[in-house]
Formats: sequence, C-alpha cells, structure tokens
Amino acid sequence: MNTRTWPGGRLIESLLALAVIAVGVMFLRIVHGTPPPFGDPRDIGSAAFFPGLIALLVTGLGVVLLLSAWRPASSVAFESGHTARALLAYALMVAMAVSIRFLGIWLVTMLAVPLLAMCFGERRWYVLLALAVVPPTLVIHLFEGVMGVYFPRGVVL
Amino acid sequence: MIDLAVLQQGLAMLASPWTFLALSAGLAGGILIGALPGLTATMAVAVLAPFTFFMEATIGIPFLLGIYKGAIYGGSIPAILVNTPGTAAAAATARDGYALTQQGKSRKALELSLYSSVVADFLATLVLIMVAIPLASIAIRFGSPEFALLYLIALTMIATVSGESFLKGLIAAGLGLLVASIGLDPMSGYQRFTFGNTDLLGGVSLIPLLIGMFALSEILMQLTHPPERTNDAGQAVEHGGERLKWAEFWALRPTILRSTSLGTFLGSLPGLGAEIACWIAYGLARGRSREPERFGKGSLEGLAAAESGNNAVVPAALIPMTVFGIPGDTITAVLIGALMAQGMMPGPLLIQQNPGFLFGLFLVLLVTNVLLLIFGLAAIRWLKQVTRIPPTVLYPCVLLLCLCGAYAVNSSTFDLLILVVGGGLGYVMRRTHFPIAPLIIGLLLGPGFESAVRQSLVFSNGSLAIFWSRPGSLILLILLALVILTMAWRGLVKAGVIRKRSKSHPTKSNNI
Repeated sequence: MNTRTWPGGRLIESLLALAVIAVGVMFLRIVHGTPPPFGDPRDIGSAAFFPGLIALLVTGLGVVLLLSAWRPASSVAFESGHTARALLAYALMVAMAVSIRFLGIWLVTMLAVPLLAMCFGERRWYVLLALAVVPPTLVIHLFEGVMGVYFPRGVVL
Repeated sequence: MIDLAVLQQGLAMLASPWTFLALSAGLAGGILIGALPGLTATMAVAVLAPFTFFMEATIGIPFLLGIYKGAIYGGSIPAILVNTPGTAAAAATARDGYALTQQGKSRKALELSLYSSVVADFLATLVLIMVAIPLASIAIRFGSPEFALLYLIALTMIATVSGESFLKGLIAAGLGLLVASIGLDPMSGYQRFTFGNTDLLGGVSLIPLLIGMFALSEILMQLTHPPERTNDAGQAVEHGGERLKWAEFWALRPTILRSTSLGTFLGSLPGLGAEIACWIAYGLARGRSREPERFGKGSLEGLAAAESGNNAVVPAALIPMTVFGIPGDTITAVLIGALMAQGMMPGPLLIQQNPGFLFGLFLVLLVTNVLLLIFGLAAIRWLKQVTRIPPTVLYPCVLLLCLCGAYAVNSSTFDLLILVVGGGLGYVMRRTHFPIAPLIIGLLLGPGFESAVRQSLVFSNGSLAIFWSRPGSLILLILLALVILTMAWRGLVKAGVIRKRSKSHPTKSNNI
C-alpha cells in the first residue's frame, strides 16, 4: 500500500476528540435545556434519562481521548493517501443525493456513474459512455419494473 | 417435543421453489461478489438487503444468508489464485493458498478450500441447531435486568475486540446508542432530537445508514488507498495441477475439526467475525502442526485451518442473533435490520412467534452446504476471470446499487442524505481507526437496551440492586465483570505492563 504515516496524526486525533465532545455536549444541552416532562434526565421515567446518561459517557470518553492523544508515550498514526480524490468523490456523492429530487434519477445516475469512474482513473470515452448508459438502465429498470420502486423524475423528465 | 405444525412449516419453506431459487441466486451472487477483491461480504449483504424488502421473509432471508455464506467462501478464490483476498476473512487463506498456486497446485488448493469450508459450515450449522433452541428457552425467562446486562456485555465485548483501541470502540458504541435515541421515545412517545424534522420521527433509517457506512465508505477507501497489484498477480502462474486426494483430505480432519470448533466458538461471541477467526485458527494449527515450517509455503494444514476457521463463523454468528437478538458480527447486524424490516424481531420472541420460520431457516442453512459444494466446484472452474474486473467499472456500479437500494427502503430522498452522511462518517472512522461495528451494533441494540434499563429501574424504584438481586442477572453481572477483567488484562499486556509469551500472528483489521 502506497501510504505513509502523516505527522499531523496527533492533531487529527485531537480534532476527532473535540468532535466527539461537541456531539456529547450538544446532546447534553438538549436533554438539560428542554423543559420537563421530556427534559429531566434525572427522572428514570423521562425520555431524557437514557440519552442524558449516554451523552455524559460520550463526553467523558471524548475528554479521555483528547488527553490520551497528547500523552508523551502516545503513538498516534494517520496514514496519508489520496484523500483529495476521495473528498472529490464524496462531494460527488453528496451532490448526487441532494440533486436527485430536482434532476431526477436518470440524469443523476448517468452523470454520477461515469464521474466516479473518472475519479478511479478511467479516461476511455467509450467506457465512460457505456457506464453512463448500461448500468443505470439495467438497475433502474430492475427496481422500477421488478420491484415497483419508482424514483424521482426531476424537472427534466 | 417438536410441534408437527412447526415441522410442516419449516419443510414447506425448504420445499418452496422460490426459497430454493433465492438461496441459489444468493449463493451464486455471494461467491461472485466475494471473489471480487474490494467487495466485502458485509457490503454485499448491506447493498442487496433492500431487494429482500419486496420478497417474503421465507425468500428474502435465505437470499441474504446465501450471499453471506457465498461471499465468505468466494473470498478464498482470488486469495488462492492471485494472492488478493476477496474479503478480509480470506487473508490467512492467501498465505498457503497462493503458495500452492505458485507450485502449480491451484486446483488442489481450491478444492481443499471448498471442502474445508463446506465441512466447517455444516458442523457449525449443526451446533447452531443444537444450541439455539435450548438457549432460547432460557432467554425467554429473561426479564429486563437480564436483557440490560446482556446488551451491556455484548456492547463491551464488541467495543473491546473490534478495533485497536478499546476507548475508540467504547466511543463508537456510545455514538451508536445516541443515534439510536433519535426519534420517538419507546416508552413515553416524546420526540427526541428530531429538530422538527418529520423524517426523523421513526429514527434514523438503519439500512441506508448501513449501506453508507459499509459500501460508500469502502468506495472512498479504495480511492484513498488504491490496491497495488502485485507483480506476480494474475500473471503466468499455471492454474490447474493435480486434484486433492481423499487421503490428503482425511489426514487433515484433526485440523479441520479443531479450527471448526474454534471458529464456532469465536463466531458465537458478539463482535468476533470471520476475519479474526481465520488468523486465530491459522495460528493454532501452526502451533499444533508437526511441520510448522511449511506454513506460508504451501501447507495444506494452514489452508484447511484458515478456511474452516472463517466458514465456521457464519452459522455460529447466528447463535446470538437468533437466541438473544444480538448480532454476532456486522453481517448479522445487517441481517437483523432485514428481519426487522420484515416485521420480525430476532431473539427469543422470534423462536416463540415464528418457530416454523426459524426451523425452516435451519434446514435452509443445512441445504446451503450442498449447494455451496455444487456452486463452489463450478466457481473453481469459471471464476478465474472475475478477479480481473477493473475497479473503474466495479465501484461506479456499486455506487448505483447503493443509491437505488437506499432510496428503495422508504422511497424517500431523505434516506439518500442518511446514506451519504453514513458514508462520510464511515470513511472518517476507518481513516482514523475508529471501529464501525460498535457504532452499528450500538445503534441496533439501542432501543432494546434503553427499554431494558429504564424498565428495570422503574420496577426497582431507581435501585441498582435489581441488577444483582436476581440469580440470572447476578450470573450475567459476573460475566460482565469477567469480560471487563479480560479487557483490562489485554490492555495491560498491550501496554507492556504485563509481559506475556505469545507467538505473534499477523493480524489484519479493516476496522469493520
């Protein structure tokens, strides 16, 4: 594997720990900030009791993770790789999920499938064209024709 | 006493041509998917689970079981032929399997891998059948405190064994429990953490999240760390050679039986999947072998141990699922999601309410072994070409299936957002060595765990004594203490505080 350990591993670990703490604190704020009958985490019957308990645990563990990342003996390693390429593909996935309602299943899949292939390094136009047409046609017809699942058509179709 | 109606229902399920067809399709598809390097068994089951929502449970669940079994076996084919394990569970298989291929004995290696897998799977299925019903009759008597402790044991074990760091495992489990609390409170019906979004009233959709965390994150990981093709992979190595002789296979029976027992035991524990069992079985076989120096150089013992170890896990992982409703590994977590979507609640209630279905499922599992033998022999002959499908074609098709599968669950575009959030979260977790399994299993067990804890405390007026005042809960509490002590021991050994003489076995974790 063409990866190497990135020196900023400790920083990333700390950022992660802070994210965990933030999630815990957000849940704690909600359970404590909402008036009863929901927001009474000390009452066993309250809907806030269990999430309050878990949020407290998660926050505490996040603090431990933060402290352990900065221990002198800590060996935090983070393998670097083609992160930019993965982020580009992730942006494509997010765009795909958000735009499907407006653009419709056909347009979205016919764009997303070959674009992901390009992220993987495919450059041959006929392969990209085949990917844009064949898999979406097969899969969408399978879902719609056999399983009766109808996808959004969007504003185009 | 076996009820005749249950027997009849089970046999009817087995005799149904649709069940048979679904099982065959699942098994063939599973072998094919398992043989494709980069496509994991969990990913296959997660991506294809939405297809089963449009089938009856008697057809859909055997289909998923076929994929599960097929994929675990299928992973051994590229491991043996091109030194690239199709799934993480076949990593140990590659060591001796590929060495045998290099010696011109690929046919022998493939046949041994198949026969070991079938024998291990069959024996482990028998154990599942013998153990599940008696254990379930005990589980039926469990009350809320026992279930609360059982869930806690499962979560602790999963957090301990599924990753490199117990702390990260625990955080992942906690996050899973928090995500599980989104939606309507199971006891009072109040909305929790929905932020006024009606799509979140029913909680976070499980299947889209699972597809995102396992499949989308895998695509992103493949982009980040594209697998390097080894120079000798798929090149001029001659496939074929002599067949496996009966005497050779018969001589391996102690190894196969030992590895099967080990795989069955490890599989029945929550959190320990086939990818761990294969290495432990391999290490044990090397330790007990008269020719340990041959391991890694084409040892039939090593190959048989790895394959029987990982395949025995498959039926064994169904033990905690059918008896307690606790997933044995990530794949059974997806299976639980599929069963829940069919309106069935895995656990003692499943045995009580759907005994015929469960009996039918056990029969299906036994029949799968015969089919695995047939499909496996065909795969040995025909699947060599499959390993050459380029990732540029494979992963875009997987993305398409993820998108359509996630949407099909509720016909909701909101589920697509859950899909991509799950994918991003899964990717970040895998890059930073956070195990995904505790989060998924925390998410699955969350509602049951919360209900059990709150009901116990309501019954006892808030007294914690309810967790040790009943005999069943006391035993489980002792078990929990043992799990924690074992975990602490492991941590101390790992930190170097306690020195332990051990043979090092190479391990490979994909943080799933």
